[in-house]
Amino acid sequence: MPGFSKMLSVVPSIARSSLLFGNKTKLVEKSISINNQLMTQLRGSHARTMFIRPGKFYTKKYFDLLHYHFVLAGLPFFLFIAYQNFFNGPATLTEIPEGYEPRYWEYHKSPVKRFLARYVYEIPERAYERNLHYVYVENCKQKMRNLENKVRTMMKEKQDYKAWYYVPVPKETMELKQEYLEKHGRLGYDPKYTK
Amino acid sequence: MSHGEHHGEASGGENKFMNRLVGVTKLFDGPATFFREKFVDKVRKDYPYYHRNYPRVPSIDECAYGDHVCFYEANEQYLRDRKVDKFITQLLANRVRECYINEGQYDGFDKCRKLDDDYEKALTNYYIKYGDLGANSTAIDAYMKQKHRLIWQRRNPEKDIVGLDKQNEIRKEIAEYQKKSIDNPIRV
Repeated sequence: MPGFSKMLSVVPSIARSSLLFGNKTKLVEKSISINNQLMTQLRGSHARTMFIRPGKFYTKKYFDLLHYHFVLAGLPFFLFIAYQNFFNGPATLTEIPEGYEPRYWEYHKSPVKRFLARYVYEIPERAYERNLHYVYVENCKQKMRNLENKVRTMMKEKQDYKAWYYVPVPKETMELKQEYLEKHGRLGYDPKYTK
Repeated sequence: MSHGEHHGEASGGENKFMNRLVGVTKLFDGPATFFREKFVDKVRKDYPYYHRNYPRVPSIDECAYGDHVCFYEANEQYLRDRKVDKFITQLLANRVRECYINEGQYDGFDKCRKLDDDYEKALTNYYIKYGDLGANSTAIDAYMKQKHRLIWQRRNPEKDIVGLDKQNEIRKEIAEYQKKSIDNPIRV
């Protein structure tokens, strides 16, 4: 109902106006006489409506955050770890049997670590071999670069091989140059028209 | 079933006070063992885990010049060996310390002599091989250190810079002096 709150807000004024009509109320007006004139008592005290106590904001905020972090993130992991340790306990250390190569997750004791090693983290043997491959590739590149530099310095010293320091010129360029020289001369413009 | 075992029943002997103290520890031990034996051991199955064995690869002195793959593998092996040797020295140190605690500082000098000598030798060998190279050293650093040491030993054949024998002689002199002084203490 749209006007319900407005109807409710009238109630206190009705309660106060009951005094005017002289109905029986529990309110007692204390009156004092000053110079034979009745005056209502003002500035008296009454029951406490605001209770002074320490604030609850920070404690509530703290417990709210604790609850948030523990229930959302802590509890599921705690339950998972408790389940794993209850049903599949830690492993026992045994000798490696003959002719058997253990899988890469069977080197860990805790069931949670075994799970992570098996499904989440990378295989250590694979990482090792991959690193060896990177080392090999860079080693090959390094060797080729060293060889190239060495050959270049030797050619520079001896000047007996026309690979790095010899640029061959094709004859078409020379013909084009001759035509240009006949047409324009050495300086690039015709001295007939300019000085 | 190694994880379900009790490591021997605790008992205080004939001493009533010690027996009662041990009984107090059983307060905490009882519920745990009950829960373990009734519920947990009947649900679990045993399964193994193994100790990782690294195969030996050619060391740094067997690698060809320019073979960086061999260098990498030899370096990894060098770091593993350094860790193992470090743990060995720590275990020997623990044994010496326990022996001195059991025997006492005075008797320990004679009774723990063998353990102490072994520990000293292990430490000196560790220092000869890995010492003063730093934490991020490589196999090549250790190899060059060995080379320089052998050259020095070839040039100075008579000298002994380690001095373990001399150190033991000095220790024996001090121990004898201490024994004499205990019998005849100097009162001022």
